[in-house]
Amino acid sequence: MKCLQVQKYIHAYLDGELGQDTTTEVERHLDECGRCREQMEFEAAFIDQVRSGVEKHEAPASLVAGVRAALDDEKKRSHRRRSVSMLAGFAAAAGLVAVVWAGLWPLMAGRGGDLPDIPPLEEQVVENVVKNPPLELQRADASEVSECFRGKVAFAVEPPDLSGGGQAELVGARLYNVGDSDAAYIVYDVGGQLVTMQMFEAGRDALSELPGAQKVARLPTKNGGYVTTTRGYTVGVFTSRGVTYSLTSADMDERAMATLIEKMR
Amino acid sequence: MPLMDSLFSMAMKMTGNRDDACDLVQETFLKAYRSFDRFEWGTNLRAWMFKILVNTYYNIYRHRRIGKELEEASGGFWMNRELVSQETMRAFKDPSSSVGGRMVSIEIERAVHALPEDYRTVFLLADVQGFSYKEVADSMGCPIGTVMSRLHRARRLLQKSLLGDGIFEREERGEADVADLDDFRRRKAAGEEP
Repeated sequence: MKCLQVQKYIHAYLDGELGQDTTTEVERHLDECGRCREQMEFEAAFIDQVRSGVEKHEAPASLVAGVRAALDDEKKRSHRRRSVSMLAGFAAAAGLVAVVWAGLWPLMAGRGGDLPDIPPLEEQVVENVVKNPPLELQRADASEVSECFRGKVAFAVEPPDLSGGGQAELVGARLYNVGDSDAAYIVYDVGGQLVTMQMFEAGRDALSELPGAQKVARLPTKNGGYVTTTRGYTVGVFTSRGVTYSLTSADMDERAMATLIEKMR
Repeated sequence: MPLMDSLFSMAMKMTGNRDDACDLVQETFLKAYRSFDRFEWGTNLRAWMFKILVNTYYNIYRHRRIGKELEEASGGFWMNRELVSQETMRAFKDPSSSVGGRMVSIEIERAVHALPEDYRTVFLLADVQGFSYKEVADSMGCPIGTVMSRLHRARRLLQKSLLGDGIFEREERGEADVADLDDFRRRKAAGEEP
């Protein structure tokens, strides 16, 4: 390794972020090169001084009180709504508060125990479908749909073909959200049955499950996904190439949904 | 409440004022509360909260990708070891020297504040909050390589503003190991021996 390369890696080396091989090479160079070694010592001292010189702030009491009040408010509001999904968030948030901030625990007392049997992802996509948002693009073909999402979501949207040998056409599309993720919301007519597909970037947690979620029966599909029923809707979910696909339909049964996503192209 | 304090510290550095920092932390807690069903048990809760904070900040302030054009520019500058002279480096490590002592907190604050936004965020997450490159990448939604180069550049810029400028002012212009790229080009254009 030459000086210039060591310059390039010097910070990652100090941060312990290099792989074993590169670390060994950098160290071999540092053993031999006094200038780079001197530089490395300087960099370490500099980082250390800056780090300890950056001012730390203590959260003001008014903020602590403000957060408490805001969460309390949120709790009351979700009580009023009595929405199942909010209750799921609720019980979970009690866990958050317990971990993050013991001081808030009394606020959530008694809510930390049982998690409802609501899988978060299915619940979110069904919630969206129930809202029946207006479609921005109607009667479009796949390339127009693809084009309308360009730059709006973090992945290339290629509306899959759902015909699977039968008939399927695009009804319309719009930009929407699943949780905090931007999602491509695309409605299909599959042989007279409405199917809503929501595509969004697969996060580490996209298919994660809270303990309660596992109590829900799920029909596994051949492509590593599953089909389940939530609030009367059949939901199929799978992830491919970093994108999570969810299909929701009130018209289709679980078996048909599983076949649909297995035949999807 | 260590997590609350560190979120607030981060928010103060990002927004630059107390009111906005308070709003940002409060919004972060609300979002965490509402989307807690998406938190993956067994992963780092602190990193998750910071991710929400950073995302909320960028969503509110719409500053995303500000540092992008900077990254492509002046490639040589970032690798330039002699941005800080060897004398300065030596003096810096010497506790009896005045150079290290010159880096008082207020100057550090000013230098950090002057960093391009994306660099500042990476610096704060990695150096001040102690997150790994992977955690920083996750918070900012960018590849690890980008974190590595932004952090490298952030530190170079801090060196330039905390040590470089002042030292360059005082040192002899003709000294061989003082090599600021702009200065080099300027002198070369003027026909001087760089």
